[in-house]
Amino acid sequence: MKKIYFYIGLVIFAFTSCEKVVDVDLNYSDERLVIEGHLNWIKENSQTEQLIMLSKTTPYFENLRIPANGAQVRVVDSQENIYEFQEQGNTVIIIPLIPFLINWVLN
Amino acid sequence: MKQILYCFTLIFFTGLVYCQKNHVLSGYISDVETNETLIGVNVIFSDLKLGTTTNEYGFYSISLPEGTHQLLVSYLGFENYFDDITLTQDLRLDLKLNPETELLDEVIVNENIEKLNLKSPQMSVNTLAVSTIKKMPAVLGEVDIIKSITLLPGVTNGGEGSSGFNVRGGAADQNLILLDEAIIFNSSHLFGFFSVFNPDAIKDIKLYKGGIPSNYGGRVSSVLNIYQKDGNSNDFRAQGGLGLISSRLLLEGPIEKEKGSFLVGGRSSYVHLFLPLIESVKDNKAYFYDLNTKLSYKLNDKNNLFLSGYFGRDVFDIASLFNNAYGNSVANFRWNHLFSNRLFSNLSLIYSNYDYELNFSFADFEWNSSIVNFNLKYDFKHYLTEKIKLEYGLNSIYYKFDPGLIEPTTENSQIQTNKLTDKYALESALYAGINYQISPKTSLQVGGRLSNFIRFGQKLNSYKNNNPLIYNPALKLYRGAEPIGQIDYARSNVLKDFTYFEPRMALAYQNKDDQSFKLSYNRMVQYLHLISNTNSPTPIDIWAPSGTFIDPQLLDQFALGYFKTLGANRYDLEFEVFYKSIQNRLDYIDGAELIANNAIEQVLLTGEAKAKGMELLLRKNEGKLTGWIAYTLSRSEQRTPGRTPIETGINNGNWYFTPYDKTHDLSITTNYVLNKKWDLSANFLFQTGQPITYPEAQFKFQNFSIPNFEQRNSSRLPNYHRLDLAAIYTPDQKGRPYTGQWVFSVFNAYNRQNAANIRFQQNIETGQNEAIRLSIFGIIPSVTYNFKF
Repeated sequence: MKKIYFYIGLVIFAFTSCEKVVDVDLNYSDERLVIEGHLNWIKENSQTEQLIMLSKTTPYFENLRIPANGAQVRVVDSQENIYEFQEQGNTVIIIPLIPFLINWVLN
Repeated sequence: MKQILYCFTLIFFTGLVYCQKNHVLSGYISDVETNETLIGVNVIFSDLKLGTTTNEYGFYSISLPEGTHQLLVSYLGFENYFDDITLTQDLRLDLKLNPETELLDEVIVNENIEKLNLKSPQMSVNTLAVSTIKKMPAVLGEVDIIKSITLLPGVTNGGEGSSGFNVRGGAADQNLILLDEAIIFNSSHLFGFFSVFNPDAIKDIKLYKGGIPSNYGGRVSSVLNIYQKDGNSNDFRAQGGLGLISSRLLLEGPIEKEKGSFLVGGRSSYVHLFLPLIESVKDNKAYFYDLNTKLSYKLNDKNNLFLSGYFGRDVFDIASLFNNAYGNSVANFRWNHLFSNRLFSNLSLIYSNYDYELNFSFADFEWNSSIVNFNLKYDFKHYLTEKIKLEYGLNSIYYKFDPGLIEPTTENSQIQTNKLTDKYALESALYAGINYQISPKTSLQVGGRLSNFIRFGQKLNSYKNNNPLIYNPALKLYRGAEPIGQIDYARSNVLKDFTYFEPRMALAYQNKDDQSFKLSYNRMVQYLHLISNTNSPTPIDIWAPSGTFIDPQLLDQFALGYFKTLGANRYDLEFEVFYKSIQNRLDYIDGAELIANNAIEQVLLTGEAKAKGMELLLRKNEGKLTGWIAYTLSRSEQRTPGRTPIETGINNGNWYFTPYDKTHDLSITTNYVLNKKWDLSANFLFQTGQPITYPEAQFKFQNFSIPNFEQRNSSRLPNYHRLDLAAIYTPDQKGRPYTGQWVFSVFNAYNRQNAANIRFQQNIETGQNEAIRLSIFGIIPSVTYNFKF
């Protein structure tokens, strides 16, 4: 019996592959602009949520959101109506309210 | 074909053949103890400066002038045989060699194994004796043929825990693996931890990396030729081994003394027997077994018959949720016939079936798939004169690819029955090659292979403009086209056929007794493509035959080599440089879904690959310390440009490293005979880390971190290195009916945590991004007991 346990010990050892968090040197590309846009119409309460956030890419291990300030943001719909968005706060560009239409398409 | 060639050569070489009175000396050379024929035995006439070697069935033939000549027969681990041969007519001389015995007082190791052949134009070839492989330290004590060849120059492993191998920067699916002439599609057990070859049943292995002769075709990177033993036709013998993971037993013996023999070898793992004892894994099963069988029968002096079979299987069962079984089954009939003492032939009829099944109990469906092929080979070796040897033959393989039937296993399964379309193909080839010793210093090997591939009718999607892959220039993205219809072609229709001529050439110039230069060129065509996005073969990989949407891969390889023996044959030095380019190498669009894809053409792009490198091998053949140092410097790249100037292709059409590019590859293999009881060995391996695609930046979307990946394969995993040690203890065998041997080994002795993979994720708790390294084998000590009756 002792012997069998010895075997098992070895076998388990053998098949225990190991995962470990490690440091890796990553390349970092040039900064790129990230545009995150939310133009939602919530059916239940007929509310709109309109939010466009501009930020920059960051190195993979840096847990930050670096805002891209001073941008001019403009949304054009299929009727060629132009909606200028204003910067608010540090990170967020918001409003005006875009009237939602059925089959409304942004260009 | 045969007649044509024969006439052809007669016309050209009549003068050479009949200008002097010559006689033919021919026969088989075998081991006196087992009657096992021996491959690659040197048959040398030093007074004439002529020589030949036995072929893969142990046959040799040489024409010599009339008179008395000094014969020397030498082979690894066997005593040299000397004789004076007087030739007045053709002579059949079957020889039996005595295994080398150790002298009582001291150990003399004179294994002239794997010696360098300076004269032969064949280059870029490595042979390994099974006795050498068995002395190497092995993971979990399980001797592994595929792992041992990765210690040779130009050969790297496909990643930790992987049984695939890469030759000269080629992919794992570009290796032709032959077991007794039969093609093996999957060479791994336990998802790649072990290879499927039972070392006890193997006689000889030979790896061609370049200058591949015309009798091989169908894969572009290498040929690994593995011969099974015939079985002992003198006495009944048993041998085997008890290891931690698996055990093996091999029985062999005569059916009719000196005429017929049988061999049965089995191997099975038994880890699963212990699993129920451990609570956390008690519902899991993982095991493999394989069976090698062979019957050999010598009908008469001119005819030998062989019937061999291989059957291997792997079974996984994870808590009865997921069940997987796969394996190769091969049945093989061969007939050796001597048409004359100059003309040797072998006819092979081979059936092979590689199948796998997956059963997802948790999702209530199963998936069965297979590749069945019938293979006919008729090979001739024609020993025309002492200077000219011809090889010619034909080969035809009929394939049925069954990519799978997905079936629900219960009534309330969400999965619908889905039959992926079966594919049928015929691959045929005619080949001829001549080996011609132009002068005492120069010899030439020229040949050609005419290969043809036919895809037969099946259901086939049709696409608008015949284009299954659409490019969206605004988004710079590819996506699969929607088929506009489906045509069901009858099986007798030929959907597409390909014919290629593959020239092969090799030249050797031996400018001194102990050194030579060699040069080779070969073109090869590969009609089958492995559809896989992993770097090493896995059982669920699908082989796609060339056809309407996929063209065959074409290889051109050039190699140049310098070969030298040093210190009275004690050392061999081999230095080679190579360059190869491959056309029609497939790659997959970003986000391609490969598993169970019935329209693989919608995710494929065609590109090209190239590899170049330098290999150095220094080998010590004799003495207490034997072994070799192999170093390879190489580069392997591929490129998949867009089909039109507007398209980006993959990686913007730029060259990128293949996943098997290893800049530096160093391996040191040593064996030291301490005394009669102890044999010590060590391996050291160093390989540049494998290319990988890392994130180069991230952005936040809502609260998730989204990685932005760099150009394909532009980073590398950490370098791979490890040291393995083994000690073989052979107790005093006097007065025992059997011989036993203990093999103690330590794999990865300094417990290097080599990265099999590094993945990136956002830690759920901290929200911080992190890199996680997976390493498979840490330090693994093991012990195996081998016995022989």
